[in-house]
Amino acid sequence: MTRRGPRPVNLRLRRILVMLPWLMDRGTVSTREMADHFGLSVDDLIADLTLASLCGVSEDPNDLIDLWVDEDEVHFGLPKYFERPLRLTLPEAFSLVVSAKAASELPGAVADDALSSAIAKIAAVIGEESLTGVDVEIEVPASLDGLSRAVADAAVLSIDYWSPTSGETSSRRITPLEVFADGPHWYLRSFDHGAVGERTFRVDRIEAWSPTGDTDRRTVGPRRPWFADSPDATTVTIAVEPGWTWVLEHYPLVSIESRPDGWTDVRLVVTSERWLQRLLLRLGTHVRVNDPSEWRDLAVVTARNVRQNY
Amino acid sequence: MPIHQLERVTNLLTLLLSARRHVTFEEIRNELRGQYPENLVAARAAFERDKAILRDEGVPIDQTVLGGDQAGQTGYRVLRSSYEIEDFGLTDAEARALRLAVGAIRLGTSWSTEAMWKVDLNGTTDDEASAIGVELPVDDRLPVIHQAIGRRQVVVFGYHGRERRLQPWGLLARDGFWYLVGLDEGVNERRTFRVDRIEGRVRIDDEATFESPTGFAVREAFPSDPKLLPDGIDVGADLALVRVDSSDTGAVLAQYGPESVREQRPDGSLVFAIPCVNVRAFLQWLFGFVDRAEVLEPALLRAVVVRWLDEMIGTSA
Repeated sequence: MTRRGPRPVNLRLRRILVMLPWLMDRGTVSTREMADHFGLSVDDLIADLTLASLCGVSEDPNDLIDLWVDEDEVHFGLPKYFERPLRLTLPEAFSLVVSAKAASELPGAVADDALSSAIAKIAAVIGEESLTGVDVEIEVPASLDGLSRAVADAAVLSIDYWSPTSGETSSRRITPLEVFADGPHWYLRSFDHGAVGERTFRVDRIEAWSPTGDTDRRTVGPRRPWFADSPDATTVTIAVEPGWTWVLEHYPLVSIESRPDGWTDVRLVVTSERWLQRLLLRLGTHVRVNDPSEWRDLAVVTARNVRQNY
Repeated sequence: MPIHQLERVTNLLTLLLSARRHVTFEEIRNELRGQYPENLVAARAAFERDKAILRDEGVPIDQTVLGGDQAGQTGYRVLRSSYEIEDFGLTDAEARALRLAVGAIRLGTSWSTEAMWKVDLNGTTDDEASAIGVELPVDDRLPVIHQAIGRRQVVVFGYHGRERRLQPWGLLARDGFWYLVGLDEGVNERRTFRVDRIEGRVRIDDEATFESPTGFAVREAFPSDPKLLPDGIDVGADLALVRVDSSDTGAVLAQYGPESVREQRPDGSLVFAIPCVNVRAFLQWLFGFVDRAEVLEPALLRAVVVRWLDEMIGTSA
């Protein structure tokens, strides 16, 4: 078990400055609800509120922030300070604009008239110019609206999925859990009924899909690391020549470490030999496989095989 | 027992917010008696650290050099009007739409969640989650660049070992990266920079402002397909003819559409016309098919592929 270090003062202050007006607005609230809302443990919440209750312009009790914790509830008394939250910081304003603009590119419930008017109200306060200088380009596949509705409806789907490894298409029965974009691609995180486990499918490789008519509502936990569910995954260590790590920018890496000689040691999870062949071809002579040893010659073998086409 | 720094900083902020005039360090030390060290140098250092925390959190500390019987001393104050967030006047539907947007767009930081706590003070956490999520990269330098674009201020930063002075026109998130487009004053030409490749911090030149070109649209500033970005390797054509095995044609059709098909072969393979202006990007795309694709034309591009493969084979021979 690892012990957590003390929480930084700036993070605790940031929370306190937004928690106090929130609490003032409600008067009395359960510690559990408040801790959940602000992403804190109940113990941390009580520690911060207790400390805040000792603060004010003087030690006179009448000058202190008027709040107290009683059993499982927090109570707020007379407002004296921090009646409104601190105005948005630069990162907060930026992230709000980016989130709103990006979401307006999405289909369905996320992007609607209410979002447009919310964006307009935000811009009216933080400045119209905040909207014009930033853009988020999201290429939305035609199937996204239907797939996201299937997620919302917990609809079991039948899909035809093309695998780049085998070059073949197979039919699967899945419960879609989440559809998400990461880098240049969209993915459908699903429960695969045939594999009896979670699998993530690239949306552009789903050649056909249709609802089976069944529903299957599942609890969706946090997304696991890439390839954590792949049964054939192997961790591979490669060394990449200086100036060539850009090839790896879209790959999920386990670790990346520069060496004194300028080369970079990279560990990554490989789901199949063909998957690694693609990467090795892309890196050409600028990569060495160090581990596992049986793949040290894979680049040469692959290049010879492809060369036969020419 | 020494007072916790968080308690002292919070007390300092209550004092500065409550002050009806600018207050000096001595007055602050007197009001917060026993909270700063006895030693004047240590007390001053602690006060500077506290101010830095408040400023880093975005607290607008107004400071001025005083006159009268406090002539020459610096006074500090936080104006409530500068500190407090404005009322955005969001309706319930608008607040819900923003919550959904913030839930769907994942920047990998707590920035947007913290923003929503402020903007939507009455909001709850029990809204339905969005069925769609978008992972966007984040970079600590983005907010400063964003501010500079809005204020039409020149930014200065290092890139590929050189200092650049840029009139920033726009930021674009595309395919997992942030791009900054603007006028590079060093060469007086439009340039595009990957934000994650910027070296060190981005500095704003407060003195230098500019006018952005009218009608500038950052997403049209450079092509979305990297194979269309010239990389200086001339293979004599902008389009390559590539034969793709029948097993893999679906992926190419999904990306380039049926209009890219030039020929259907009896074995079911298709010949596609694929952009190859950027040869490096083209090779990355081509090798995704391993042995199930072959460049037919132009001959110079085919030769580039053959040389690439021969070098790989020769390396360990």
